[in-house]
Formats: sequence, structure tokens, C-alpha cells
Amino acid sequence: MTPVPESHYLIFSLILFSAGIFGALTRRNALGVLIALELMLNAVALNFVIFSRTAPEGSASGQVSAFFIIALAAAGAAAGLAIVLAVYRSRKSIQTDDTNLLKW
Amino acid sequence: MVTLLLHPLSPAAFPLAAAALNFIFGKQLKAKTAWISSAASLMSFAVSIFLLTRTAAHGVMQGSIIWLEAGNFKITSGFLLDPLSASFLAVVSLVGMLIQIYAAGSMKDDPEFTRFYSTLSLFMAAMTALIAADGLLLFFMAWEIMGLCSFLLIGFWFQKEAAAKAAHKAFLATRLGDLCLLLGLLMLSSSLGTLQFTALSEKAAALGASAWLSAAALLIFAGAAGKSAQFPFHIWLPDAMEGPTPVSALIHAATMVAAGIYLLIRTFPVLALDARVLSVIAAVGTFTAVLTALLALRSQEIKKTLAFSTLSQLGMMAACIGFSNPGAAFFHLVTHAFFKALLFMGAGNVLHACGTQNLGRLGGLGRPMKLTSGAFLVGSLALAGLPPLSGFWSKEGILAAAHGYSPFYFGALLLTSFLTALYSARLYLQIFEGSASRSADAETARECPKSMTIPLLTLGVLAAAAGIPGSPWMGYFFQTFIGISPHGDPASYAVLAGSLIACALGLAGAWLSAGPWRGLGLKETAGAGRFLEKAGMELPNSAARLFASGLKTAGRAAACTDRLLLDGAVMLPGVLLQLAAAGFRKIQSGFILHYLLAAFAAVIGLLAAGMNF
Repeated sequence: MTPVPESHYLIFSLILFSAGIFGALTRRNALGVLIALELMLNAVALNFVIFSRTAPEGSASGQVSAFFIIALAAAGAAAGLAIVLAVYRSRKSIQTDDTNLLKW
Repeated sequence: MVTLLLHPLSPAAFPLAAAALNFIFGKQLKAKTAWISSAASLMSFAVSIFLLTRTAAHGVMQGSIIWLEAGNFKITSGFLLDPLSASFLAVVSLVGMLIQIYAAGSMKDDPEFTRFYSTLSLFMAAMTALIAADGLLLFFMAWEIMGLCSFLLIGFWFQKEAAAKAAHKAFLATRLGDLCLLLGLLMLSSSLGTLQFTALSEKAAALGASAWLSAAALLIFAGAAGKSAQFPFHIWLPDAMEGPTPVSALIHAATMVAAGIYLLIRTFPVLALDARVLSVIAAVGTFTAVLTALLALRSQEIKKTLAFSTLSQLGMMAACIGFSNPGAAFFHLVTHAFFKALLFMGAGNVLHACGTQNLGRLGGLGRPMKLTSGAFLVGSLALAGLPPLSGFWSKEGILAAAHGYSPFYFGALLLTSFLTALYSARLYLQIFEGSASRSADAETARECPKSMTIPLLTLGVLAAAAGIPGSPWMGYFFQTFIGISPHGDPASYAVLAGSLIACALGLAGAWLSAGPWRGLGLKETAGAGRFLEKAGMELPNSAARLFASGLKTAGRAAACTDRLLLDGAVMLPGVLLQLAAAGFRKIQSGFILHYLLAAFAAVIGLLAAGMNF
């Protein structure tokens, strides 16, 4: 059984990332934007893991980076959700169009 | 552990720890703060005695660490333990301990008791560190902390307007001196490259006299004059009596004001390079001594009289350094610490018993307050210079130095001695002798509690006996031990006769004016007295006010320049940028979508740019 070539993984991760960008740009709901961001982060993590397979023997830096991204994503999700919750409490809405006060 | 405990800086560490303890746990400790502070001083005293014996046996001890190093420039800081600092340490910690025990009684009912003791301990730490310092760096730091503590303690009852004002005055007047000292210190360090006392004197001797060094020496003397309240800085000390009496006794009589004299003794090799600097010191000191001795005669409050007397004695010490005999000045500094602290404590007892310290309302207290009056008598006579009490021997040294210097100064200091005897005896007679009828409170006055009389009596013994080690009976043991005078001035019969006659005349004059000659010549001299007060106190005061308001105006002008020119120069680019950004900032829409889009577009743009290369 031949192993799946790397390019397939990369294409998959590209699709995942594009889906994330598309979601982040088109979603009006703040939760949707957050989910899309998670997709993008996971696509990047996947890339790291793939490249760590091709890296010379014994180098685990790609996988370590993936762990970092997972931790970062968790922290980002926590902070993002807290912000969404706070916005909801004050505006009774989590539509991104409704929060446009932070400007000049 | 033991070596650390007996380190020359550990006399400063104990009070510092006590200050921290009292400051942090003051609310819980309450009255116990007094015992913590006193115990810390007792430990300091024990260590100082040990250090003194070790210095006597093994000679000078010195050690330092590098404080700052930048290229070739290096500043070290550490301790210098020689007979001078070791004996001063012992005196300061002993007097400090006694006064702290005394204050436990006299300040008992004060609601701010703990604040008092934490500040007092901090002061003790600074004073002991100053004494043990090996160079001007540590010395200056401790000097400034002492100035702060002095400010805090003069203004201890800051609810009273007079106290708050006196604290400000003392702080500003000494700050001016401190500024001079800092300048002098920088000049010394720039030309000699060191701030250590021993290295300073060696390098100064090697370099020889120069205008630069003379200017530095004069600035250092100005700093010492600020702290030791020499003319024209003498205006702050009488007002400083607004503080609690133990503070007046410790800081404004026995220790802090003596730090200026100590500075002059330490830097004497630099001062002595130029005889003109010494003659300035001699002139200022002698002038202060005579002027303030006259003012002491006019004063109607016990503590103010004692403050003027302190000024006068400090003037004599400074003058003695000007006569190039720092050893005799130091000897007088030590005996003065004992008898002046004693006199202030006695004044505190009178204040405690009668609620007033106005001489016009006091009298006949000798009967109800036997212990206080006895101790006060010893203190007054020591101050007056009656043999064989301590003041006689130390004043003898100063007079001998003056005799060797010039007949004019000898005469002026003899006059000071006469006036000293006159006002100190007058003080005693007015408070403790005479009819009790003058005072409404004399009938009800009671002796103070033990915690206030025992320190008084201890100091009484010291004030009587502290001069013996420096007397010819012990072969000038003390002066030889200190060993800092380039040449001793042998006491001649002329000096002896002069000082005895001055003292006797003063005492007799006081006795006569209290008894048979009461009121004689008072009217005739009233005008002269008023003139003296005007010229001696009010004129320098208004000069200081004028100086301060001039500074204020200059400050306002500087602030105006700052606002218009400097602030304007900084603000102008900002305003221009704001104008430029008026249109550009519209792209910040507030919609998250727009920001995300911009971010992605930027990344894609960067990637595209990267591919091209």
C-alpha cells in the first residue's frame, strides 16, 4: 500500500484554509467568524505536521509548532468568546455590523 | 554571623530594622514600638562599644564595595572605622537610646506614637550610617535621609501651622546647604577622582592647593553650615523647636546638627589646603557663636534659648576647625551632645509638669522637681564651662586653639564663654529658683515618671564626667586617641585664666540679675536687644524670603518658557500630523470585516511581491 503523497495533504489544507478565509469574510455572525478563524489555524497546524514528516530524522519542531498553535487557538477562542459575550451583554446582538464604534 | 553582627555598619542596621518593623506593624505594636526602637539603639551601642575597643586595639578598619563603574570612572562606597567614627558612634547610639527611653514617657499619650518611633529609628539608622561612612557618597545619602527625618519630626504635629511652617523652613534652608554640598562633592570627585575620605586627603595633599579645590572646600563648608545652622543658615534652628522635645534633644542638639561639624572634621585635609578657606570658617563660626549667644540672652522660651545656645556652641566648634584644630572641635561636640541633650530633656520635663516653657511664667520648680532641677543644674554648669564638668575641658581646647590663632578670635570666644555662662545660669535660676508665686503651676507641679528622670540622671553623670578623658589629668587621653589634630594647642595659663574669669563673671552676673540687681539695665538695653533681634534674625529671615520669592519668580518664568517654547515645539508636529490625517483616517471604518479584508489583501500582496523576487 503506497502512502498518501504529501501534495494531497497540502491541497486539503489549502481547501481548509480557503474555507476559513471565505467564512471569516462573509459571516456576519461573530461566532461564525470565530469558527472560521479556528479552521484557518487548524489548516496551518496541519501544514506544520505534514512538513515535519519530510523534515530530517529526529526533528520534532514542526509537531511542537502544531502544539503551540493548538494552545494558541484555545486561548484565542477563550478570549474571542469572552469578547463576544461582553459585546452581546451590552448590545444584545453579536452581528459584526452592529459593532462599529471603535473608530476615529 | 558574629562577624556580620559586629560589622561597622551594623549599628545602622539595627535601627533600620526597627524602623521597618515599627512602620509596618505599628498598629499592632502600639506602645511596644518604643521598646523596639530603644532596644535597637541599645544593640547599636553595644556593637559600637565593641568596635571602639577593637579600634583601640587593632587600629583602623576599612572596607568598601564598588557602587558604580563606567569605564575608568569608579565610585566605591563602604565603611571607615577609626577612633573618630567609633567614638562618635558610641556617643550617638548612647544618647539616642537614652532619648528614646525618655520619649516613651514624654510622648506616651500621643496618638501618633508609632509614627514618631519609626521616624526616630530611621533617623538613628541614617546618623549611624553617616558616621561609619568611608566616603562622601554614603555620607551624602545618609545626610539626605537625616534631612528628611528632621523635616518629618519638626513637622510631627503638622496640624499646628507653626510646626508645619517650621518644618518647611528647616527643610528648605538645609536643602540649600545640601545643594552646595552636592556641588562641592561633584567638584572634588571631578578633580580628585575619588570620594573616599582617606584617598581624598592623600590626593589633595599630592595635588596641592588650587582655586578649584578651594571653591569645592567652600561649598562643602556651605553644606556643613546648612546642616549645623551656621550664619546665615542659622534661622531654621530656633523655629525647629516646634517639634517634640525629644526630637529637639536628639536631632537639633546632640546629633544631626553636629553632622555638619563631623563633615568638616572628615574633610579637614581638603579644607586645610587653603588658609583662606579656614579663615572663612573661623570668621563665620565665631560670628555665629557671638551673635546667637547674645540672642540666647533675649529669648523668653526655654527651648528657644537652648536652640540659640546650640547654635552658639556649634559656632565655636566650626571656628575651632577654622583654627585648624578639629580634635578639640570633636571633643566639644561629644561633651556638648551629652549636656545639651540633658538640658533639652530637662526642658521637656518642665514642659510636661507645667504645660508651659515661657520663662516669664515659670519659677520655683526646684522644690517639687528635685531630680530634674539637679540634673539641669549639672547641665547648665557644664554648658557654662565650670570646672571640672565636661564643658570646661572641651571649651578649654577651643579657647586654646583660638589663642594660638589670633587674639581677636580669642577675645570673641571669651565673650561667648561669658555670655554662655550668663544665659545658662539665668535659665536655671529663672526656672528652678525664685518665688513660686510667679508661676500658677509651680504649686501643682510634680516630678516626672521614672522613664523620664532616669535617662536624665544618666546624662547628668555623663555631662559631669565626659570631659575627664580629655583633661590634663588623663594626659589628654581622648584627643590623643582620636589623633586627628595636626598640632595640639597646649592650654596656657592665659587661656585657663581667661576661661575661668569669663565663666565666673557670667555666673555672678546671672546670680546678681536674678537677685539684688533684678531688672537693672533692662530698660537701657532693651533697644539694643531689639536691634539685635532685627539684625540677627529678622534680617536673614527676610533675606531668605526674598531669595525664595526670587527663586519662585524665576521658576514661573522657566515654566512659562517651558510651556510656550518646549511644549510648543513638541506639540507642533502632532498638530500637523492631525491635520494631515483628517482625510486619511476615514478608512478606519469600525467594521471588523473591512479590517479582515485589509489584512488578507496585505498578506496576499506581500506574497505576490515575494514571488516576483
